Amino acid sequence: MDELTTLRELGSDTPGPTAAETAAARARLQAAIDHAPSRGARSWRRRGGRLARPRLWAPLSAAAAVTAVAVTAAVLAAPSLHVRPSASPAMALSAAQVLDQAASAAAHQPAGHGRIFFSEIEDMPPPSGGPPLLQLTWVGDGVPGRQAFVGPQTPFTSRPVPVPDQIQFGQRFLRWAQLRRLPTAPGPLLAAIERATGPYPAATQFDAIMSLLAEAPLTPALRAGLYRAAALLPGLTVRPHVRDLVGRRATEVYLPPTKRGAGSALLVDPATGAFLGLAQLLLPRPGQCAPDQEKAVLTAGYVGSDESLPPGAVRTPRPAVWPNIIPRCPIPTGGKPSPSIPSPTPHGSPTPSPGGNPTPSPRGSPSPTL
Amino acid sequence: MTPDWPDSELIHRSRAEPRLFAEIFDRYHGDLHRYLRRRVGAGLAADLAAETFVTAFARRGAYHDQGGDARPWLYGIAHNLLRNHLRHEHRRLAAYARHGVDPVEDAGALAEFSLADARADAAAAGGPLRLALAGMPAGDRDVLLLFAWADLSYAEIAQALNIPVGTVRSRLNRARQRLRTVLENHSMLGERHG
Repeated sequence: MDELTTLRELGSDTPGPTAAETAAARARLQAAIDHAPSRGARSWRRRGGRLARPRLWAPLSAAAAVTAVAVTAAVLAAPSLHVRPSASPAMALSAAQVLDQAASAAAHQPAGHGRIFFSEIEDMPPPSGGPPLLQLTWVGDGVPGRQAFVGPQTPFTSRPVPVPDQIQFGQRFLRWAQLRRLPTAPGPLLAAIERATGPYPAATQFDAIMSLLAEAPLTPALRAGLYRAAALLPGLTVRPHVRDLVGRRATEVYLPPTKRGAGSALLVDPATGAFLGLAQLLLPRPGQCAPDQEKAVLTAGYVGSDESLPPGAVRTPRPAVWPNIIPRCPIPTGGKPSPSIPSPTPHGSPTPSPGGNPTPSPRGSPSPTL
Repeated sequence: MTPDWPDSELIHRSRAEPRLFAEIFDRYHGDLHRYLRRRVGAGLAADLAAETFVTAFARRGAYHDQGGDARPWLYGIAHNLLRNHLRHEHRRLAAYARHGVDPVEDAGALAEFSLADARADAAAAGGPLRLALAGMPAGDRDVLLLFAWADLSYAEIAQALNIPVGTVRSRLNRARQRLRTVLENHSMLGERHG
């Protein structure tokens, strides 16, 4: 045995750091990271994105049409995922902090009692008017996906229709089983998303992330990773104290629309970090109020069968809060809408009524600014 | 999960997005901690390893990619921090060689070492080896241990310690020769007393 081999064996059984030592060291680094300034624009941001990015929503085919004529109010249910309350509401938090809070909540979400992911999503009524639409979806790896649409006068027991076991992920489709192969660390995960979406603006990657969060059966680790991957996107802005499509209090993290394409918004519960919904922010044109597309996740959770509902599920569409779907209408000055807005103002809060409920403004009215 | 980005890209991106630097920690903290623990004991190693990453994070703007991973850079920072503890390390190694008791480890170290002493040549040679390490110039010791315990190449050691590769070679040869001499003397001593 030569001297080098002898030396290598000296202390070769030295153990690595304990979990507590690693956690303590990581906490010291995290403290330094948290206090470091973060530049809004990053040098590695993709350039040359196209004006029209691909539509990434409605990943599960709308295989059923629903006839519905009226709007019925009901008590809202909080999503059953991400139920851990945060220590403090999302006030004066950065976008990264809001997303990190959501990630922490997602990482601790209950595993559920089944392998079928159920989501109940309220879709925004079409711009031409019409009833709200409730989309109920049951999907899972190895189980046939089912989807039902419920309108105000469409019975909840309407027969679900099959849906594919995949979701649009950038420019391709991803089967549920393939979700398990996605990395959960934010950097590699964002890299995978960028590879899937192609050379489009960051809002495209943001869309892909939100689609997964809203409708895909994800592990808690992947769900948390998606939030943290989103936090790496450049240009994210946070807007607290907004209302979502159905009037719930929300914190919005958004990428504003630009001349190169639409923006996107993610809404989370300011108290629990729960995923509340997503929206697409269109670039307003002079003299025209372009309504956005928006979805509100009313309930999400794991169930044992495609006929089961998680606790808190609702069975009736909520009335949309109208001011939220035209938040980017020009702010009127002197009674006339201005032809452009200097900065995006997504999701203004509707005026609360004395009872605490939002009072929808007549359609076409701009949302009040905060 | 194996990250896709190389270290250099992660560090570069972390200048604008600081949280990315946590990936560097995840990749190397364990190995660096273990290396430092072999050198200075558990308590100090934990502190030095943590401080290495905090320091590296603060200096990430000055990181220059030299075609490899971030280990040379991190070990270089760790050695700068370690130099502040050289006096401590020297005292510990000397005491260990004299008494066979590692003053930094717990009280069970004596019994544990005695058992190992009977089992393995390397462990039996621990006393003389540590005596040799304690007695050699710090620069030689750094090169030798980066080579033997951290598995850095000549070029990486040169980068870590900011010295020419030729100096790495000469220091390593000198250190190895010193170890050989100590081991041979120890072996002859053992035969004489055996």
